[in-house]
Amino acid sequence: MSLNDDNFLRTGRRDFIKRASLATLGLAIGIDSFSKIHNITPHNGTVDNFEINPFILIGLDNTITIVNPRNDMGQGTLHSVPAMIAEELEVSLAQIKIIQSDGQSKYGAQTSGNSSSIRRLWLPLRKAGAATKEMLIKAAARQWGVLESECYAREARVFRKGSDTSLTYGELAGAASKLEVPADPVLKHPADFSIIGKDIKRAEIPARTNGKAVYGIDIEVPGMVYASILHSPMIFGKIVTIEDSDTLKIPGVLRVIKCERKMIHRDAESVAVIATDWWAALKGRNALKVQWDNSNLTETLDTEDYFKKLCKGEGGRHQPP
Amino acid sequence: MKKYTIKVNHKPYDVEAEPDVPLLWILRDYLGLKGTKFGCGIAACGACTIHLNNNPVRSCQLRISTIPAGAQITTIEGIGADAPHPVQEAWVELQVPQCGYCQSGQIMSAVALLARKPMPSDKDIDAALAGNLCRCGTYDRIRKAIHLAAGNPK
Ligand code: FES
Ligand code: FES
Repeated sequence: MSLNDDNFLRTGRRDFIKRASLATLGLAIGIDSFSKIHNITPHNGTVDNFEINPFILIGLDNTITIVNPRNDMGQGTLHSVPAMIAEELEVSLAQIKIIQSDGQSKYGAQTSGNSSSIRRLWLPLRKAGAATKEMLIKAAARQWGVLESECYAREARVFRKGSDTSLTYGELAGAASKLEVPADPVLKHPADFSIIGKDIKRAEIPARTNGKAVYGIDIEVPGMVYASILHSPMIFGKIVTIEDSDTLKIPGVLRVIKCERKMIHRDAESVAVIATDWWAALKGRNALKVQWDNSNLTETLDTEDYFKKLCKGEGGRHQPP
Repeated sequence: MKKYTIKVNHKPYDVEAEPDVPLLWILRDYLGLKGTKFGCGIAACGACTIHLNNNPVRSCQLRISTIPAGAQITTIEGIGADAPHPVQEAWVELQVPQCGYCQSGQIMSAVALLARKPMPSDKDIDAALAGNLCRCGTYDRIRKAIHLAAGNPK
């Protein structure tokens, strides 16, 4: 199943947040349209977190966890995306734990690209934070028997105006999760921002200085093997013969596989060497002898010519250099 | 397959491997020490920098069979293991990393430089870290952070 960002936004406007109360319903409900296609599974085990919406978990001990649904490739989404929620939720970044979403569909599209992380999540995530805050305030107001307008939220607590009385989000989360999700929560005025646009240190930086940060290449799954892939040296190349006897002699090499992949402009052929570790896979690839048929290549490409051609194309706006 | 004993971050490890396996892959795939990064495998980027007897070395070029017996290998996991090293503190203070992928290597080179030259000049820094590429372009902050760490001796 693939969900694109537009999908996410569309749902975002109307019913981005759906109440989920692990305590009362034993359910975790995600974004509305997703829950229809996705089986909702009862939550089992002990409940110590309230998932008021998929991106915000509030623990009974007032630990607040915010889920970042965008890959951080250095553009800082591990900081900037949770910051949008934290700003409206009225929690400081020092008070929250940030975790990366794990691919579940309730988090929507979980890729980064097109400089879209902030642009596309700007309203949906701020609304998620604001709606959750309003529910927490309402829960506190009910408990105290006062108007919501007599309460305000600050630093993961709801305060009663003109008094020292306050309740932590953790204390309120259970009651809040039973309330209706406000459809149109009030967003903060940018002049009141205390996180967005401020110079705040990124929480994940220490892990990027001590080897603890986990990158794609660091992931291991049980029984994992490694592959190294030999591609055609020329575009459109087709495999004629694969001579892999030397490759298969290399300790650690498990298999040699011819790969075919349908791509937009062409079908790509390649040879993958699979091995118990990456070094063996690389050595195996280097020992391959593959004969390529390049007759599909009807024209040769050179950068300058190609650029000129593009410039001549319809709608071309650029001049050849 | 041959048996080797190597000492990494003061801990001895027994490894069984082909003699030509680079230390980088021994660390990552055999010992599970993933802090040392693979960038190019051809001595061009410095992401894989470790210390061999306190000297910065590219682990992608160091075959397991050529490591001298008893040699002291230090990886990023061995820097500031108990409390952050001044270089790491400076890195956090100045928010040096962007994606951070190159930073294990940068830090290994910086730590080795400061051990050799406690008050390096810009020129010293540029020379010592010339082999550490950063695709995110954090060079300016790296330089500042090394100066900060130098003025901040533990
Ligand atoms: S991986 Fe060793 S220098 Fe690039
Ligand atoms: S911080 Fe991204 S490559 Fe250096």
